[in-house]
Amino acid sequence: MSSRVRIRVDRIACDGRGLCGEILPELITFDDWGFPIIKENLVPEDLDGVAHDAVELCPKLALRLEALEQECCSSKVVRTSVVATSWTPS
Amino acid sequence: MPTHGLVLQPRALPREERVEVSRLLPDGTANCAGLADHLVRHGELPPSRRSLAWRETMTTEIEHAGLVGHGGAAFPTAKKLKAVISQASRAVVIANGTEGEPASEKDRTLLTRAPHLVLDGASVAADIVEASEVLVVVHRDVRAAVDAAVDERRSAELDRVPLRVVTAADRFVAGEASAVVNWVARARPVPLGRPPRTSERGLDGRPTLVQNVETLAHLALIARHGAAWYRALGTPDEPGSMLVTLLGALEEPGVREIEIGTSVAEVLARAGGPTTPLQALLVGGYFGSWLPAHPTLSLPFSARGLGAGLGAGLVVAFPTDACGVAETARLARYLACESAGQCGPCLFGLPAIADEVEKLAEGRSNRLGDLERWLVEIEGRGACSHPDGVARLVSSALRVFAVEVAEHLEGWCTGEGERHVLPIPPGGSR
Ligand SMILES: Cc1cc2nc3c(=O)[nH]c(=O)nc-3n(C[C@H](O)[C@H](O)[C@H](O)COP(=O)(O)O)c2cc1C
Ligand code: SF4
Ligand code: SF4
Repeated sequence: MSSRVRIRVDRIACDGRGLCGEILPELITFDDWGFPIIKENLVPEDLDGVAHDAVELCPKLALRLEALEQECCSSKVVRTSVVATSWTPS
Repeated sequence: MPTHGLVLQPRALPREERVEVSRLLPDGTANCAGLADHLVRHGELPPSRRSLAWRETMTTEIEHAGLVGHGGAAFPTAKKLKAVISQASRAVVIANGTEGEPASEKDRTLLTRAPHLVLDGASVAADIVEASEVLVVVHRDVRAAVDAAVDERRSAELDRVPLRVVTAADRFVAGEASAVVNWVARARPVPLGRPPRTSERGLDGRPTLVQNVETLAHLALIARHGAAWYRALGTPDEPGSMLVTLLGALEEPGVREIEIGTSVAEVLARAGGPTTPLQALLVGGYFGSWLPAHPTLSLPFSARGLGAGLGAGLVVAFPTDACGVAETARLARYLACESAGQCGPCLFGLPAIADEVEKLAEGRSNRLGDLERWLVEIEGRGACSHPDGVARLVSSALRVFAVEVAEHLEGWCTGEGERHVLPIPPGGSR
């Protein structure tokens, strides 16, 4: 079964300190300037806990996990809702 | 008309069959700036009915018409209307006439020559999403013309919803939807980036419909004549007409209205045709794609026909005596400087890309591999699609000017590197 949680970066807030890639090397690498590249945005279930840690530890509150609400018997994304975020509401 | 799904064949019309399209713009150079002329030409708008059934019928009609956005992304307009309608609180409509792209003139031309069509569209859109206010954000060049049109409508008590005109910020990224909202609300013309979308929470936290001014003008015609009329022009996939800014080595460059699906050669003929042999075309805008002159000239001018988005309708006829690598380097530098500087990948990636393209143009690059990797890596990594647009432009240049790139690396350039075809605003770069 495919994952239902997606990880996203707030590109404006992120300052490329790189903590997320250290915590989640399976999903995140860096570009030549140290800014994260999300290799795979669907968080596998076994990384769910680590992904939540990354969200909490990001010094710029730039990471966010979103639940993909799926239609029955289809992988089409219908709606997303935030399951973990440290973003301050704009 | 090509049959559905088979639009890939060239579709050049014989000269005598060529139809001059003038749905949005009056014929020739005539103006339709005054309300009286506008009403003679288009008639009155059918009255909006403030019922759910009317709003649904209108949205369905726009959906059937196949209207998409003319601000660059070609997003289906009906989908955006529905997203705003689904929100509970009072909506706002923003008519986006920022036209931040320095080479594009079509929005300014439309707002000068047929402002009431745009305002009609904004007014209907406001009724459809039950907005309480319309903001018309326009390039400073056309502010006076739009003010005059709004005054006329106010005296005639034409619109249910009040229209307010705002002068747009004069930067490339200022026209991005969330940047327009940010400009109007906080005088900061930079994208907001983070969710929620402007359709959910835009201006003052209200659901906000941002549409390009040309999209609204088409909407005003669909409200009058319906979807079937709209679809009588264009291709089944991409119905209707559109405004294009024709530029470069052409006899009479300028803004024209064309039927989507007309051959590219025919489109250029509307500007008197090329003045010299062409090597390539830049289609869509500074976020667009370079395409080789052959076979592009014989292909239908549609996203499907060209395999490239039509963006905001810019078409640059690029002559054989100019250097595509050097011109792309100028554009890449300009666009890198126009970054709002908020997102790391855009702030650092775009100048690095511009540096490399400049070095290529000067024949002293040894990092072509890095450049190609950066162009892939930067995709989707900005809060807005500015970096994606630049990556698309530069990638297409590396493809279309591959021979020239190789020649530059061997130390010679066949074009006249100093011949500039693409306009960049003086002092436009920070
Ligand atoms: C960097 C950037 C600049 C843009 N500039 C403009 C602009 O000047 N005018 C415009 O209408 N849309 C512009 N857009 C597109 C808008 O974000 C938005 O998609 C559009 O106004 C929506 O209207 P439409 O659906 O009718 O095209 C820009 C987008 C980006 C990413
Ligand atoms: S930890 Fe946060 S600020 Fe640091 S690179 Fe990752 S997302 Fe950006
Ligand atoms: S991607 Fe670039 S232009 Fe867009 S918001 Fe970020 S820094 Fe600004």
